[in-house]
Amino acid sequence: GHRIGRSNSERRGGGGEQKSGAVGAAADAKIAALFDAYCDPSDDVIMADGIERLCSDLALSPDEFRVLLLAWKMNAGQMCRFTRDEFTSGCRDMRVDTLRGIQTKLVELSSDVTKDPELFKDLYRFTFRFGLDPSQNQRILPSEMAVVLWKLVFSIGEPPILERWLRFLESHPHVRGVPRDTWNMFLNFAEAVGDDLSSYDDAEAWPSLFDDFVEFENDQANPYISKEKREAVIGQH
Amino acid sequence: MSLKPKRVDFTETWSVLQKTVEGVITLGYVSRATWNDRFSDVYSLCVAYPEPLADKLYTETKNYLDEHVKSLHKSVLQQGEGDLLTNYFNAWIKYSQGINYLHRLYLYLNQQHIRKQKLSDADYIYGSVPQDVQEQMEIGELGLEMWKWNMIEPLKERLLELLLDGIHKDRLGSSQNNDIIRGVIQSFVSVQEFKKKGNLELYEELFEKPFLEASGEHYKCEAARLLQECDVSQYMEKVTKKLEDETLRSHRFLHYSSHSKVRQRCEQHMVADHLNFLHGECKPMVTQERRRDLANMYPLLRSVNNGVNVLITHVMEHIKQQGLEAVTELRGDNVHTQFVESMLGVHKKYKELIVEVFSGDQNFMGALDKACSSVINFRQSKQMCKSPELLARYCDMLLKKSSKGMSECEIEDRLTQSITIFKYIDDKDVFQKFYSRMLAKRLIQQLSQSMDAEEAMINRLKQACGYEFTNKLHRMFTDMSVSSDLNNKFNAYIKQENIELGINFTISVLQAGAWPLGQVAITPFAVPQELEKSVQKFENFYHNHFNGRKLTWLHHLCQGELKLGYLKKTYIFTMQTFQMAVMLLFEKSDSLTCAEIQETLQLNADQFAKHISSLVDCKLLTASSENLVGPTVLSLNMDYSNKRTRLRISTALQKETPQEMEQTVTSVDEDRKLYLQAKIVRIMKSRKVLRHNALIQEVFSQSKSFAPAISMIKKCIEALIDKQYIERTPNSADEYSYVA
Repeated sequence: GHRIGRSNSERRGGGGEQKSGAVGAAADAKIAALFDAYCDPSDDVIMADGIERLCSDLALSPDEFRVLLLAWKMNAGQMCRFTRDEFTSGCRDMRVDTLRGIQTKLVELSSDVTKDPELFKDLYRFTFRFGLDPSQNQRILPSEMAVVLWKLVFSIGEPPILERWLRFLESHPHVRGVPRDTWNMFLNFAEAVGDDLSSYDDAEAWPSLFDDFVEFENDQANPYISKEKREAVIGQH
Repeated sequence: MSLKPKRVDFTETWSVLQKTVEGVITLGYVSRATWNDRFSDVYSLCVAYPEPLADKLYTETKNYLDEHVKSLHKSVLQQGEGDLLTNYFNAWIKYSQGINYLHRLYLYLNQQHIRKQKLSDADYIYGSVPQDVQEQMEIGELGLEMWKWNMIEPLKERLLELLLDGIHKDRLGSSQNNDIIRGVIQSFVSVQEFKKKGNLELYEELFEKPFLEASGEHYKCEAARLLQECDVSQYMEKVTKKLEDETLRSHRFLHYSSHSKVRQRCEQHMVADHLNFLHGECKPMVTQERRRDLANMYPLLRSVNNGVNVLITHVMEHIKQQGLEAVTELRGDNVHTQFVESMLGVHKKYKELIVEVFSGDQNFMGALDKACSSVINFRQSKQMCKSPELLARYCDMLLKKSSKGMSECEIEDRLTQSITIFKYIDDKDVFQKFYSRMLAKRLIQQLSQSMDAEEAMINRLKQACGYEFTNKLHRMFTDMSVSSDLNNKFNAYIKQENIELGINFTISVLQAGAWPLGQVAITPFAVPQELEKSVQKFENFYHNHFNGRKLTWLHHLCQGELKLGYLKKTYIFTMQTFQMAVMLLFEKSDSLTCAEIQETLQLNADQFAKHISSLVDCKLLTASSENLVGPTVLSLNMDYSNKRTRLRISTALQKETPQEMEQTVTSVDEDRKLYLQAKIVRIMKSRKVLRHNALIQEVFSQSKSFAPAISMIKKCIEALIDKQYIERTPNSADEYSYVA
């Protein structure tokens, strides 16, 4: 990669590069200044309190959807923390170098992801990784965290099944975590079932947590199933 | 006589020929010489000069036959209505024979003139021959054709009426004229036999169709009448009889092509039309096992479409019911024997029934299999299915030394039969777990009746379920024979080195992976001095032989024989090593406290308590208090006595504890998950991309030793996605691909 990069710049040469370099450099300087304004004094990263200040300057609350969008654009490796690289390349990518610019861009993005399902899918998948705690080498999202993130990522367009799904997770403490595949597939699941679980077929390739959920919901809906019978149904698996 | 073509006077020749024709066709006397002359006349006419006269001869002969048959028809009519069948028949017999002779007289015309202008077979079969082509026919055929037009056509309605009436009378039992009826019917076939295509048309149109109609009506009425008069048993018997009779009748009277049609027609009206009634009667018949009725019902139902399935279902349900009654709610010590033998009883009984009553029909055998399988794999709501364990116990009981009073043959026999049950078991892996545990105990404690029987049984299992299934069992088995070699070598070594161990010593060296045993000692244990040397020497010997192999001593599985010399009689006791170690401590003193013993032997509390209490229970030791700990004093019981002098202390160790059972079950679950994951990975590795359902199917078909639950397969797939062995393909949610 390194060698190719150099040969490219050599080939390009001339005034063009100088000019774009100058504009880039100017923007980069502004971005760097912006970063420095929130940067933790002891470390070269924006930490929790820096993010809080940034949010309030952007007139956002830290648990708002647009903050998630920001983290997504920054491709943040973990929660409550932006590294200089993440911040810089995120701003470049959004083509912004001011608070005002970020604000406008977030409004724009917010409407983009509602219109473009592929874009939303990317955000959605990012959200899972974003929620994992890298310091603990997490690979499965703890249930409570998953609930919070589901609420957040769907705050601009909640699928009809979400409420029941989250209630199921909250009332089943033995479901300890959500693996990546289950998280990813929930998007397909929500789209496939809509509000009606009767079309659900557990012979299809759904993760088994959805099987449990649908069974639970169906049993809830049927007042004639006694507890004993419910057990028997489970026992047959 | 010259064969050379010559001028022939047709009128003259024909008038002579015509007389002979008349003689031949009426079966009159024709001398050999006359025959020969007329034969050459036919030839002369055919090759006549200057014009061949064959066509003319044909036309004249045709006219003659036309007239002749017309006059025969008249005379048949004149002989009266009453004997029409007989008269027709007689005239036919005569005419058909005569025409046959005439055909031969016209041999030259037939072969050289008519046959040559005929269309070929291929033209008839494949070509489109215009309907209106009036071909010349060979004389025999021409005669028959004349018969058809001039005799059968005008008489057909009346003949049919008489035939149907005759057959109806035969059904009622007053048969007469059988040969005539048969002959008349046959004439409808014969008269067209020469035709290459559709030669049964006349027979079918003229007779068969109306006959089938009439028979259908008849049996419709008969069935209705029988249903009024009879119960189902009688009905079936009568219908069976009627079907047989009608079959015989159709053989007697009809062309063979009609036989199956007649039977079908009868079955339609007497069975298929009343299928609901018959099906309704099946259930009580099956539950009461009315063999005679069932044996009648089966062929009736089998003959019609969708007839027999209902019966098959009832039979299956019944066997299942009987099976469940026989094997649930079993009580007592020998539940395993009751279970296996009752189940075998049920299987045998119904297999015999199916062979006897349903001629061993494969569909019924299939129902038997289904029923047995659902009984054997039946489980009440959440409980595990008990059958695998019970079957393993049954085998254990047979293979153990004290199989009470059974001959070797008998044991062999029962083991062979137990495979019948084994084949039905879904959870074969659970069976294997139990079986291998029990086999391990038999081998280690030398409780096997015979090694041949053990090996034969493993081979039977291998035959039924494959090499993979019995692999570990085989390895256990070979360990035992390798160990026996090893013991011999060890003994030779001891002798050679002049080492005195002080005891007899046999050892089994078991491969860690093959045996269902924990790989660590379950308690600390200070080996008694008496044994120490043997242990030491063996370890040295072993390590010299097999460098780098690790030996773990599983003392809790060992036993020893101890000779008690301090009592009035000498007793020989077989006991567990820990018990022996306890007893050996009393070599130097008659009483010891529990604390002292535990201190010396280092056993943990659990094992200590278990073995001490068994020694107290069998009265070798007496205790100063019921609480067998600390200061409680244990003393040798000097008054011990027993009628027998060879005894074995059975400890709780020999029985499966509930924990062990539990363990067996959970370890099965773990094994299954590993097995399934490995299968999935292997499948995905070879297929690269596979849809969800296809993968599930594949896994199913490859799992021979148990029937995996779909939910378990799904969980395994999830686990593998999580471990990144496989992933969902980007463009489809129900397709997986292998991650290399």
